[in-house]
Amino acid sequence: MFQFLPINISQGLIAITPELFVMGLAFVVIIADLLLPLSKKRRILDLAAFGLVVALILSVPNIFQPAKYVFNNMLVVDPFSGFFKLIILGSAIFMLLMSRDYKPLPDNKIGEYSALVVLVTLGMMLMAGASDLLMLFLTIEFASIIFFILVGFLRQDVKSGEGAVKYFLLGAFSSAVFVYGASFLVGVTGASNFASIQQYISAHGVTPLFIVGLLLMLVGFGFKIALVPFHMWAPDAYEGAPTPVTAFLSVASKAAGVAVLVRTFISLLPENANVNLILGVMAAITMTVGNLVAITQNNVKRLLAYSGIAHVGYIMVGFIAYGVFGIEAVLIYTLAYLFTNMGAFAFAIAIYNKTGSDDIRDYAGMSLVNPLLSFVFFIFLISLAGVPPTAGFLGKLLVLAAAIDSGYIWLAIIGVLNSVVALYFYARIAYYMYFVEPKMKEPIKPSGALKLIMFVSLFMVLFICLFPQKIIEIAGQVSLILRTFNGL
Amino acid sequence: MDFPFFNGQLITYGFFLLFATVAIASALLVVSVKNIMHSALFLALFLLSVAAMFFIFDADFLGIVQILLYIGGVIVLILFAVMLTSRVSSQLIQQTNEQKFLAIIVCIFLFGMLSYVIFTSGLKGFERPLVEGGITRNVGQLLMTVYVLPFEVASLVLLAALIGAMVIVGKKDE
Repeated sequence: MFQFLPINISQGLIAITPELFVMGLAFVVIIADLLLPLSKKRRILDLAAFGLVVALILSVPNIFQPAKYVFNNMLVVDPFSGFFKLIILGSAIFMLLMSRDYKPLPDNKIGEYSALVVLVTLGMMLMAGASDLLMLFLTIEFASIIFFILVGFLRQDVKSGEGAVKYFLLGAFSSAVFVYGASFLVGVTGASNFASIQQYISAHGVTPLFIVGLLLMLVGFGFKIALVPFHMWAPDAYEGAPTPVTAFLSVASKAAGVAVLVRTFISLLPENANVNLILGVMAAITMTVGNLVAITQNNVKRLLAYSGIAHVGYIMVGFIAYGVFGIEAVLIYTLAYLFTNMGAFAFAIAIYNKTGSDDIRDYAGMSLVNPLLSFVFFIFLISLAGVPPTAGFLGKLLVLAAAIDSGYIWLAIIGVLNSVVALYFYARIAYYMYFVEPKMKEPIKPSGALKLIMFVSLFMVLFICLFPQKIIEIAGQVSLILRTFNGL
Repeated sequence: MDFPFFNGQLITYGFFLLFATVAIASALLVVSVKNIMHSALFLALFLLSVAAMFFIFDADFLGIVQILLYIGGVIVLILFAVMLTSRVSSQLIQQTNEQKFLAIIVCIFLFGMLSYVIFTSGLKGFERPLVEGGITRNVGQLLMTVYVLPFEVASLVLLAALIGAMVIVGKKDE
């Protein structure tokens, strides 16, 4: 294959087969939009989802391959990026299935919508593997620009526009700070790809200017993953965006952001330069702010936005713990968060389609008319709160254990205290469902696609906690390869 | 007086002085004329003379990009925006307010500071020729080899932005 190309380019193309496939899928989706009549436009979502399933299968081998750089060190293909590609693709598939039944999306815009979703998936997949400052910036912008558009997709809705504008302005600003920081790194080391920067550091050590650059870049990452104090856009963008986009934004965008954050710091920050205290304080504030503000929220999308901020705090705790164990905890926490959040959002869409409301007070008495669905949602809630026997519990356990293991006892204590706060507002939703007089009379009948999402997520949420050996083993392998590849 | 720039190439230096004068004069006019349309046109003149200076310094690629992007894109966009907002284009607008003396002082300080940095940086001026066959050829070669992946990804970003622009400004949902 590709004999007419230079050898390094053809090797690179083979290594990024899943990305190439997703790119082709985007073109197929654009063409399908031209060919299909208006009444059949929603089929495009199925087409895109099916294509991404194939891409998911193509990405699985990445987890078991050794790490290597491709395209002149622009991109790294390793188990770590493979793991995050699976999370991104999984959430994209769930998101497209959810969109089938989300009523506010106009039929005539489905083609553009699907094309943008497929392209943003591609952008985030590349982001997970970016190993050059230029590539990092380009892919972060790639994903951000499309998310600005997707958040503002409902043009008649004022909130959608408001969310998109806030997201865009803060995004543009944080990108500027990010590039400023990256320019410090290039200025100090004279190189833009991670491999060369590593060589420079091992030869010359780090200068304070280098650390300053890295911390400025943290602003860009912090914006992507909604780390406090760069989280201000999140609640408005989450509330205004179409709900499937909110779900996608809260899982895939964060996962991709965590991936680049972890990779950049692991690759570029030698262990002797200690910025962990700054990161630790940020993680503690993120957990606390997210959880405390979530208490007063009545809109389920806003509530999940703030709870998502808190979850990022936990992921950061795992990351601060460094070590094989810490990265392993980050991976499992992100995986657990994928299924839990997707399940919860599928439920929110089912309710919204019935009642036209995202207010949790309208969930009153759900358990009487929909006992099974309510119970499934209850499981997702306790997984978000981190109660056994769910995936959320395993994630929190590993994160906190990693923190204690590496001596961050105070972070672990703050984490545990926050779990208690979180339990309150998740339980408040359950309280409305189980103990308040019902408002609705007839049961909700979610469509097949929503049911599929809910039950697959339910299965995974329980499976990850009850049979964790295999997953922990894979996650341990992935983080070990990431560390050895970067010479730690 | 010894000018280190062009090893005595007086004609090139003359051209440089000409374009530099035009650039400074038109930049001053951009912020001082009262008609915003004229202001935009002077901005175009300023950008053109900067492009000319890029050509003088053998940065032909930068010069072409300057003309294509700034004069072909940005200025046209500004002119369209001015023409579409008839209320603004028909009026004469005072560009300064009561803070202008303060602003002048700040600018003089900034000018002094930048001059200081440039004169003390030890820059030896311009040494030519930098590369065989011009910069454009080398930039093209790098884009197709070392930077081929970012180059292609950038094209996808543009595609996505195109679709997004259609979504945002396209016709209302029927």
